[in-house]
Amino acid sequence: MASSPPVMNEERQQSQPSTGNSIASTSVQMTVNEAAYTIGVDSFTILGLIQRGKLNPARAPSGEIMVPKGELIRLLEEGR
Amino acid sequence: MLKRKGQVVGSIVPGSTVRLTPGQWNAYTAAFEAISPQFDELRQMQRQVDKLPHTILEQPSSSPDTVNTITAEGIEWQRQAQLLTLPKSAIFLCRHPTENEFAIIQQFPVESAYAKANGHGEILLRSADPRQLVREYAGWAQHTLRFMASNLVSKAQRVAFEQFPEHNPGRVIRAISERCMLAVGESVRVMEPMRQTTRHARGIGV
Repeated sequence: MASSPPVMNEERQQSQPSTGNSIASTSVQMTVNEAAYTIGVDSFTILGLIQRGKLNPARAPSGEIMVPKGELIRLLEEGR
Repeated sequence: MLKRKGQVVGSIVPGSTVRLTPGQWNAYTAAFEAISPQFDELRQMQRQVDKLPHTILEQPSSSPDTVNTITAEGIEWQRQAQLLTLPKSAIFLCRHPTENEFAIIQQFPVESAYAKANGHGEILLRSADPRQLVREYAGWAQHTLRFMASNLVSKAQRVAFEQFPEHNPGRVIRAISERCMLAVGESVRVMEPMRQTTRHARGIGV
């Protein structure tokens, strides 16, 4: 499906420039699409990981699910 | 476009019961465009999930010479049927090579960061009864799709409230919510519009 990187959220744009899909280049929280792109999966998988308790989400004021950067790092480190 | 005494009173959003004025319609269009690619993905996923019970019945087990395997948790599972095709992964019903056990396994591209950390195949569910397993997975996938739809509504909500606060964004979001819920097989139900200022001030706990 979508091969281009998702639009970064405002917080990320203000804090640091994006350098591709490196987690280290992202700010505190990512949208579901951004998180999916970062670890090479799809948004369905990210939401499934949240439902299975493998990722702990945060919420934006609009109610949109956000993925804390630290959660993605923990997910990858625990797998190794 | 419906008119009353010469005045435009709005038109109904497809897939919803909500009638919008021209100004609200602009807000709706902008908010829906923000989620349009994911909405299409959602509908495509729903079509696949709807077919899940039939997929298993229509696809015979592979013969030994055509068996493909997926390694998960150190076991080379035999693929029995492909259940879902996702943008960056696929989900299979697999059989244990030696025991009477089946598993739903998600297979990721080997080059993805997730696969490098967690392995190429990840077991989602396992059971001795493949039909029960597929039914259970279908329910689980449906739940994820509802979650996805709800998240799309929240994303659209942000756009509507930020960019069109003067055009009754709550009504616009109700139209989008109904459309998203209908896409995942939910009957239309009214969602309370967000009170943006209050929620911004208080924040939302996880």
